Amino acid sequence: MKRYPAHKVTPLLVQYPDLMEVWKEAAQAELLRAETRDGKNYVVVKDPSLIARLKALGVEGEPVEEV
Amino acid sequence: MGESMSVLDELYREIILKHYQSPKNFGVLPQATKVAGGMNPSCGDQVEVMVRLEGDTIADIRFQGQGCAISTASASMMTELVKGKKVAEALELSKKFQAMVVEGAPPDPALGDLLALQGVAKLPARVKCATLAWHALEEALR
Repeated sequence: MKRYPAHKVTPLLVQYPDLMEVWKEAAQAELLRAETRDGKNYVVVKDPSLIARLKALGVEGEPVEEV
Repeated sequence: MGESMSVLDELYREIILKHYQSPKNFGVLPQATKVAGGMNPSCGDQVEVMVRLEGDTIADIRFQGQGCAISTASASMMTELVKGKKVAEALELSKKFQAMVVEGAPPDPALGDLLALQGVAKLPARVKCATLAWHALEEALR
């Protein structure tokens, strides 16, 4: 499970329509959620496909513990 | 007359500041079905609009990005206004808003708080700031 700053992810969803499809599938499977910490927006992703796609696009998330 | 205009201007400034400091619907929408974005290099604004459509209704909407007071306030007020509206209604409101800030058309009360941005029509350099989120919304609804 990884946490990404929203500003690193949302521009990619605009740029890569196929990434948006992976995002939708992850959301449908409830494998991602939005989070706000200290006034900043984040996305927490549990879906390995989406994590892999983001990594391939050069975006690394911060590992987070599952609660 | 001059005094009432300055009172109104002050009210409009407060509305813009309120939406800039505490923007509504700012964040990520995991259940988005559509996403679109835009940039305004002259001011450094960048925005992504995420929409969840249910049929032809905007069931939910969020925006993400960074921008000046005008672009952030415009995006915040836009999301408040179009949430729950039909796509056709939202596009009609977009037309009205852009007519107001681009052409200086008479403001339509249907725009609600967005009337606070009518003065942008006199500031050509800031028109793109005000319309950025609306262009993204239109693209997302296409």
